[in-house]
Amino acid sequence: MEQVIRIEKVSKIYRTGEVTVEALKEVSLTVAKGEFSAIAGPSGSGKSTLLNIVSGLDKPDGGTVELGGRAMTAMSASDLSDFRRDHIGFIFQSYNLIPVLTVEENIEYVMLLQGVPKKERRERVAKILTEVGLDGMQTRLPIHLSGGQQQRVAVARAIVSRPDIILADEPTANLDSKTADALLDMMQELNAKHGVTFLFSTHDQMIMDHARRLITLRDGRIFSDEVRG
Amino acid sequence: MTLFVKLAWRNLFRNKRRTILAGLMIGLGLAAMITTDAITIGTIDNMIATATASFLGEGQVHRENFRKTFEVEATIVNGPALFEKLKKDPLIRQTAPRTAAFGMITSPANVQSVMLYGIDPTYERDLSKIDDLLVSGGYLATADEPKILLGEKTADLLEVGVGDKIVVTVAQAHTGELSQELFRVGGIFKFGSRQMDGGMAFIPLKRAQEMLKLGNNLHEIAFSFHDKLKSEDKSLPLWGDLSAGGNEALPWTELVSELAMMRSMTDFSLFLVGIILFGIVAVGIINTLFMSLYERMFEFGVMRAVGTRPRQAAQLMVMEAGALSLIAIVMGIVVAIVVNGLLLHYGIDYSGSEFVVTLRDPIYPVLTAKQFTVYPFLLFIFTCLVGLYPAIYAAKLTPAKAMKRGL
Repeated sequence: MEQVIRIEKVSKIYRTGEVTVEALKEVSLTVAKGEFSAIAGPSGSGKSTLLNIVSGLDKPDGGTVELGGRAMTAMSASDLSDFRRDHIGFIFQSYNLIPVLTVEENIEYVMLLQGVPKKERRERVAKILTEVGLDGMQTRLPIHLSGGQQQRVAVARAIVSRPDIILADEPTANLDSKTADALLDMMQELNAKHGVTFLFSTHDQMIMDHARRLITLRDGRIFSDEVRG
Repeated sequence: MTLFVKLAWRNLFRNKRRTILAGLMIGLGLAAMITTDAITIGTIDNMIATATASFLGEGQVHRENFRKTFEVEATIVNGPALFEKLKKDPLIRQTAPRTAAFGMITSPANVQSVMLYGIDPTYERDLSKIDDLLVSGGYLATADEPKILLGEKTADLLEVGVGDKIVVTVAQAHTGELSQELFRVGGIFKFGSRQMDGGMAFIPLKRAQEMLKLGNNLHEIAFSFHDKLKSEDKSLPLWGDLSAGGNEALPWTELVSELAMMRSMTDFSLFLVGIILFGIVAVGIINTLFMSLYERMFEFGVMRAVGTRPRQAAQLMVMEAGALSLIAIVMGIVVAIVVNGLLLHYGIDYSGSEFVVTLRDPIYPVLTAKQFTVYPFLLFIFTCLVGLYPAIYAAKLTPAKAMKRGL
């Protein structure tokens, strides 16, 4: 199976004054293409740090990170931006849409950075809006959408640029259970349909239940790595 | 690019009150700059007009060194011919022939030394404002009548009024012998300048030439141009022609060099005012942009996370600065038009005040195209440059830290 993520002995230390916190301790992990995996663990276990390092949002203090076969630790800030733009989709806990852009413009944003032609952008936006159930809402501003709808837009934005992997940090934390369940179903369907790799960071039981692989972190180390049927 | 322009413009209106206040502050800086420039030009123009139109003219011809020695025999070489030539010159609007010599005026009550000018009433009426500035009596009617025009202060000192008799004494050319003649006070003028009102007197040109034994020779030919800017163009062949054969032709910028110097000094002070105003504006822009950046720190983190390059994040900040300056420019121009409109209507009354010359008319701002094109353009460029500081800050943000700080 083709590996999308490969991290070797990654460590990360945070220093605040004289206090030193070892957030990740020589963590090694691989994620294969098409996986629907979750990293779980209690608060402070290193989930978000691991996700930030995998995505190149933060740099590790030791170890190597490869995404799609490319070593991210050696990339410049600009190259990392381009890499994230072309290969990674993000879904955040608090939706994080750009409030001054409409639904359509938010979804288009990454494609605009990629230089996708206008006609193609519009076609892809229309298609993804149907898939995430937001038809007819393209001209609305995020402020006029519910939390669930905003997160659907975030999913659409993450997937429309056709990334190799989608990293989702607590995507259901601000949603009620019904909306969260619907959103997870939708992401699972996208995973099955488009073969997009999903990697969640969560302590939401619902995500853990949906995940086909559950990696548990504790005190900055992988505690368990369980693959479900 | 279009996306960032759109984003910058919309971001600016996320906090309308702050944008309007910041725009107004920057706009007021621009309006202050335009108004200061307009008033400065108006003041200088007023002073130049007062100096040149009252009596000086925009240029004068003398015998070389006459202005240093005032020797009676130092008349202009071929003065009458030169005067006739100037009358026909297409560049010249008006010209007036004069004699100028120190003289003594004696009244029954007192004695006063003056600079005694012989003037041709007809030519002088068109060039200078002596006739307009008479406070009593009348102007000289002919070039040879025995009448004298005195300054108000001189008349007070001599305790004479219109119609009174006085005796004028001058030294004749070449011999130095004294020549005396009786005149009646024909009129009393008030230029508003102590030097002119207490130290100048005018008699008809022919009388002066006779008293000084000058024949038809002249000490001074004053002239003005159709286009007053020509008076400052020393490259004109006219200046060389008039200075030939031992004469000296000087523009007003050299005749009253203090005025020309003052003008260059005001250019410099305007530059300093510009630096101070733009400095205040810079602090305002940086403050506004940083406030806006800190408010949207998480959003910047997200934008960087999804693939916005550091350079593009910086570009967005500079565009926001540019958009802010466009709003400020519109506000500033509106304020400048209103303020200068009022000043154009009412003027600033400094009449009677003596700087280099005594101002007689109110000062009106002079609006130029440069004030409404170059200054706004400079402001726009300056704002974008100032915006580079928060822009570089935004570019250097690492996405993870920005998202952490934004929480």
